[in-house]
Amino acid sequence: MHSDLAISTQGLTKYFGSKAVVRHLDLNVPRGSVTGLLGLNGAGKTTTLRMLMGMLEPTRGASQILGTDSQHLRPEDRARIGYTVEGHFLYGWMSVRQCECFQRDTFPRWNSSMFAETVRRFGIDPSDKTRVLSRGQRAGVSLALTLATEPELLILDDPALGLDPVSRRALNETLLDFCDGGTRTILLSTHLLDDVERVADRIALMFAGRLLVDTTLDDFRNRIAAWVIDLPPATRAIESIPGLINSRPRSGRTIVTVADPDQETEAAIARISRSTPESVPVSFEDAVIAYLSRSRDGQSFLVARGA
Amino acid sequence: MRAIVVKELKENVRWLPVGIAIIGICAWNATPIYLEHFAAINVERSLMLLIAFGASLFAIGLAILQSAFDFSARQRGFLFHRAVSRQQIICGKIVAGGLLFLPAIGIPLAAVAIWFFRSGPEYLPVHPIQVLPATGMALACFLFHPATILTFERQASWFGTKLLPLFAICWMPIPVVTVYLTTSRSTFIFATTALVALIAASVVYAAAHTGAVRNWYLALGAVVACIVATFVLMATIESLGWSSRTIYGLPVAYGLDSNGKAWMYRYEQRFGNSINYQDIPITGDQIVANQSVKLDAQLPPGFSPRVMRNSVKLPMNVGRQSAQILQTKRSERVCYDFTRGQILVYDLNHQPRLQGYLSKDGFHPYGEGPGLRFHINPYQTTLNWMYNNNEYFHYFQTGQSKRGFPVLWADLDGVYQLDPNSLNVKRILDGPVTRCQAVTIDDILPPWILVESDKQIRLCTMEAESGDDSWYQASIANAPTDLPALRLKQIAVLPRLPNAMSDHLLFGATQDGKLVAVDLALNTLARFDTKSDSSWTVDRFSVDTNRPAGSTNIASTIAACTFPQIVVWFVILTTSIARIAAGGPVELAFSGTLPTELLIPCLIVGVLTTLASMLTAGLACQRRGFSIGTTILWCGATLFLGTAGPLTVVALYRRPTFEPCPRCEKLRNVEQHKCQHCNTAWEAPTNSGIEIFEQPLTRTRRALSV
Repeated sequence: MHSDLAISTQGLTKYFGSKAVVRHLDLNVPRGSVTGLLGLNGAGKTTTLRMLMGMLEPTRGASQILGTDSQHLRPEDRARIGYTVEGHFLYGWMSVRQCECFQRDTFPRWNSSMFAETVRRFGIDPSDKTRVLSRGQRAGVSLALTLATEPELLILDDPALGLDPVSRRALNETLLDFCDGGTRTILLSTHLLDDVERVADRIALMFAGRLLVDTTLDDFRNRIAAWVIDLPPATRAIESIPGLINSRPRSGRTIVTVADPDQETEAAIARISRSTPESVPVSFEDAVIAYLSRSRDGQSFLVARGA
Repeated sequence: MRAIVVKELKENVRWLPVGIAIIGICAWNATPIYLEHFAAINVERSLMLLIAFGASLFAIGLAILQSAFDFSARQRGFLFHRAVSRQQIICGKIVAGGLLFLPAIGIPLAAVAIWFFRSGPEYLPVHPIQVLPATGMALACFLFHPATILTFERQASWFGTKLLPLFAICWMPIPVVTVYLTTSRSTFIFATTALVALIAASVVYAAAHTGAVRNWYLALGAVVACIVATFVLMATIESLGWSSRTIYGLPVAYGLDSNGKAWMYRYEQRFGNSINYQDIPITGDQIVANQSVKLDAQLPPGFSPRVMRNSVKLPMNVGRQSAQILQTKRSERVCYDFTRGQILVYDLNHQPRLQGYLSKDGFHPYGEGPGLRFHINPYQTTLNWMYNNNEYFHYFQTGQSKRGFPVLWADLDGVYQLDPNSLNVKRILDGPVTRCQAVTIDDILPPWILVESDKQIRLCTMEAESGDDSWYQASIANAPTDLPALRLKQIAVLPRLPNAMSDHLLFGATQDGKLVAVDLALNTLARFDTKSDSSWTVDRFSVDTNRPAGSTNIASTIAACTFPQIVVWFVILTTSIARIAAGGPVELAFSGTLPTELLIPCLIVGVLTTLASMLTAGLACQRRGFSIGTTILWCGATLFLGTAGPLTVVALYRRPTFEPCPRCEKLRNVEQHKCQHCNTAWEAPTNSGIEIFEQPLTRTRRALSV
């Protein structure tokens, strides 16, 4: 077990019935990092987080969170972890202030000023019932309730879901303030790539239950490349490109995105292209979407098209 | 935990009025209104049953409201991720449920108690203390609350096994009712509270823990579920009329013919048909012969061959039959046997008001105190029970004119004759009395009274004080208006039947004047045979009181199919041990546990069911990838658990998924880290060349900017 890891999983696997929704996950989240967990709906992100939090028993494999087995988290372990569930669940009959009291009474540490500041940032009246709050305000309350416990590790399950731009900015600012000291860890599951690019320094990308990417943001960017090539019609030769992530048509030509390109990759591209391949820059968003655009059954659109 | 309790209270206090309304409606339906004296005398029992229904409903409903929402996936993550343990959260919910449950039952029951206090005994024979059994039962019904919480907290894929924690608590009313029927009120409350606390603690413990404790709890639930399913199946078959079941009543008479052969006289009822009476020979082996009995009095001159008609045992009201209505001949009074040792007399002619009390020392008008109370719950019977075939008493029974019934009354001190018409009570036999028994011969001899104490049975004849020898032979035409004053004349003292369980003892007389005592609990028959004027001998027989061969009973066969064998064995063993503990003969301890004609079919069906259950359990184990040893172990357990065996396996272990092993190509359990066939560990999925992993890990905290 690595002491510098806030989260570590070894072969973590979860089946629902006969369907594997998480497959042999080996995820490592270093302490002090902000990791964006990316993936399509159904990729297994929420299931992974629920297993990490001990809310769901894995079919196979193990996971440790802050050095403790996820399935045997003690109250004192949970006190060190902040966790917001998907959808920002709150008890609708409670006022914001009652939510604060309930949370404060069930956690040993409570930072009232942080709670007040976070709530203020989202423009929330503490006397309001949570059922009358907007989605963004509920997200603010949920985040405030979690951050005020001063956790060492923050796990957020799609916190920006359905938020307006102002609320998203408030959310991101809050997260940045929270981890400003560099000692706190955040695992952020989201679909919003620009938020990840702003907040995170690492990404983990899941696809069909598998972990395809687990590295730093810079490393990820550096190891993705793309070319624009001319392909003969109805060819399957593109499949021979090593590290091909995705290909997509653009203006009669084809953009191919590859991982860890080397000379062999470039040679393969040059071999199948009818003209000189043109290297194009790849943004973070393009790179992530290249991964996410692969079909949900594990095959690329390219193969499906070729068939 | 305090925060959880407070949260649950605030969240669910809105349901408190609903609970009060539910239990209030139940209490209202059980509560008699003025003039409903028939309802009033059974108010204790009806209140307990209705409150049990209402309290169970509210307990289950409240637990569902507390858990169904909170235990769904998202809410579970929000609620359970706290610096409090899962046990504290579950316990907090249960404590909050209890705090809401108490006023929900307490307020309606307190209202009923106040109403009883204001109404009784002046207008109705009720007393506030009568809400105590309902209170005890309601407290017991709260156990459904933690069981329901546990049901919803349990993550089971099949709804059937998810309900097992609830099933595991279904048996709870049985010991509560048993304690109620067999103990005093104070003992009942104490025992019920202790029982509830014990079971609640075990349920909470099971709710708060996983592993072996919960597994045992679920296994119990599986057993109870099978029993419940059995009863539901039996009831369904009964209601559909598929069964050709023959219902046999308890023997109503016993006798020995001139050849010494024992007979019993009882009724049978074909399902849906009329009642037929039949004489059935009693068969059995003689187990004690020629035990001498000495008499202390001369037998009456007419003690010669007679035909026994009927017999009635006193007390009639074993258990908690709280009262019985007796209407006087002028219909202006109704007398009640009240369970506090009082007889209350009401005037119904104008305004239903209490007139006074009939006590041991006579009638006491209301306002002058109740007088000398009977020592224990007074036992009573009317003589018309004994004389169904006697025209004289039939006259009283049909009540063509408003005529009071002659009543015999017994408590620990003796036997009394009660005359409701004249409001007189007279002791006609001094105690001690543990029970007494009326035996009728025919209209030639006066009826007998057998008074039993701890050591002996006194045989008495019932005579008129006036010396009229034909008082019991009167017909409708010349029946007197009032029953003559009676006295009891002791004619013999018999030894108390050794090892008899008195609650099940029935007496009769034979055609030739011999006395027969049958202990139904022990299935033994004792024949007191006259040897001379001063001594008898006692022969004892084992009695086969089962149904005659040829009748069928589908429901019983179903019971053999579905009842867990361990339960059947438990019942048989406990019954037998109880018999031996009561001093019964060991050789008879195991007799009579199943009807003879059903013994073989039930045995066959039971064995087949057990084999099928074991096979099913084995298959369930195989599908779960158990080792051979574990499978054999579960099959062995199914031998005891019966149909509950495979259900327990299904409840405790979810069925895993199997995938082909890439090495040996056999199906391997995805839950196990290594292939159970070739011991190969799982390998990471093959990389497709697009994976990007950082190696080694670096801490690359970068400057964050928005």
